[in-house]
Amino acid sequence: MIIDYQIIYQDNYVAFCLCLMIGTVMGYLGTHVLKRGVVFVDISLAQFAAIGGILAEHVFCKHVHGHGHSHGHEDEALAYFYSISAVMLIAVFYSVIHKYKKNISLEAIIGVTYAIGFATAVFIISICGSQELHAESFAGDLNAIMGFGSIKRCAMAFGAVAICALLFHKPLTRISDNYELKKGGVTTIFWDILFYTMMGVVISYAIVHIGVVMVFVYLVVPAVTASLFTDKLLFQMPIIVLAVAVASAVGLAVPYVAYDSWDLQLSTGPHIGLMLGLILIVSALVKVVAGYIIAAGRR
Amino acid sequence: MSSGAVNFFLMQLLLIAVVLILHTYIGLHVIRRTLIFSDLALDQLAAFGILLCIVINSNEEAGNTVHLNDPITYIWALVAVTFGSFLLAVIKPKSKNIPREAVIGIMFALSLLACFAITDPVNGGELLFDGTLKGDLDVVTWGLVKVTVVVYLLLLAFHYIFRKKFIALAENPETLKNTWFWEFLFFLSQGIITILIVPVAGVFLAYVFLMLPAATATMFKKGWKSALLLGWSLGFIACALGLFASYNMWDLRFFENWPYSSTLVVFMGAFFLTALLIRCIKPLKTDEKIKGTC
Repeated sequence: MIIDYQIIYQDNYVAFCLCLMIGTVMGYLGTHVLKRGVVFVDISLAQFAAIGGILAEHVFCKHVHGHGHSHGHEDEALAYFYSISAVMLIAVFYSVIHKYKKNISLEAIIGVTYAIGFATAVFIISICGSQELHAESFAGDLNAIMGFGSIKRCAMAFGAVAICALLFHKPLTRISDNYELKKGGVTTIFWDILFYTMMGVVISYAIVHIGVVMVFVYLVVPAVTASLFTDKLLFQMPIIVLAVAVASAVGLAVPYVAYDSWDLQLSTGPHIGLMLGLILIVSALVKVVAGYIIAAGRR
Repeated sequence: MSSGAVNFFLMQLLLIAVVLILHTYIGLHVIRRTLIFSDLALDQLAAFGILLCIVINSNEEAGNTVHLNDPITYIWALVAVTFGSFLLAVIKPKSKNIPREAVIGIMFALSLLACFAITDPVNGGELLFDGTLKGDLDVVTWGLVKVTVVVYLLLLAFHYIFRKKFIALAENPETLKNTWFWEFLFFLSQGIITILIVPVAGVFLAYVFLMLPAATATMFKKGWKSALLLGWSLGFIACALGLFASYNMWDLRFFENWPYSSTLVVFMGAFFLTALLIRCIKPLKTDEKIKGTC
């Protein structure tokens, strides 16, 4: 088999840019998620985005084949519409339910609805006569990226969310900093819905390329890595970008090295995620060792 | 209904009844302590142990194939959950910006990705990966039911003997000495039930068994005993309905192709969402609130 390294290089370059874009925006949102203590909200939103796609594919319009494999732009737009609608619905649900006191935390409701969402996805697929549950839906398939054209919509959606994040940074941060207090009325619910909608939009576009679990990994792992060293967003963001860049570059290279050396065909998603995990573990160890050294120096 | 079918349903219902007692009790702890995804992380680690065992010990050329429910897979799963329980017990971030749930979530995501990475290069790896997520009802035998009943009874006795310690973990952890050790024992007992349930129910149903009945009951009952009783009853009714629907017991076209595990979750989910709706319409009184969970 002859490998065209020029094409591989170009597609890998595009995949790297995509990962960097997803990682940076998700990393920013991740710092808010950590402050709010709703770590699993994005995996739940991602699951409901997937349900929207499944409903579009299996129930409402049989000719739509998911986001990435649709027959035309109209079908693809329709699939995104269903995904974003499902996410909006669950976002409004979380924002409203947060205000009620019910003896269980919002995180518990998020956890339970995530599991219900996953089961519903399997349920819909099964009753529609298909037994397939593709592993790619968890870790994505970056190998399917063909040039910048294939990530254009995703780039536009992420650009729009990045602009919103810059414009509304202050009110969003204020609410995230005081999330447990449940202060404010309709205004808080509005900013809450806006935050979850921003999450929903990026998630709906990101899961097409990187899958449900990788969305979660990009959101939480770089933000936790940065939070190990500093609480200030200004210093957290460079750490997030650096961690995402290193993990994405290594993760994207692994399948090509494995193919060249051992003829193994591997997916890229899991290796980027595992690399981000490794960076977090090393960072945590560095922090612990540095703490001991500083403490010993003081003595 | 044939005697074979009666036998099958009896076996399933007995297994569900036994499993729900301990799962609901541990679920009540998990909800009160807001360690929501600890069970999912342990479930996924058990799945990782099982898959690692299959990938390492299977040799297609020699005709050696390890299956999902072979005894050796349980040992590997036990090693994986023991390691996971230890990590869950000792890793407690000091920074207020890193909630403990983040550590649990990262453990879950990394073990899921590791499962994917180790099965990715293997022939039929996707099916194996799929199997651990969805479970396989066909692995249920009277032998497995007996082992499960014995292990669950032992764990119930263990939790009953040390109930004061475990309840202190949930209500007043500062009064307990060697907190990390009791936390480790708590997560380990959670992990052991995980090992038995994942090959049958899959990662997600196992998680739902633990969370949904407990979450539904916590919204209505503050006391441990009454919440356990309510959670078990609601969980059992929902599961029984789900089981009958997935086997199209009533022979209706509507119930054709309903998958086992996700149908059970959908029924339990319907109970949970109804309970949530009732709780929103009729809010809690001040004396009904549990500290730190609202």
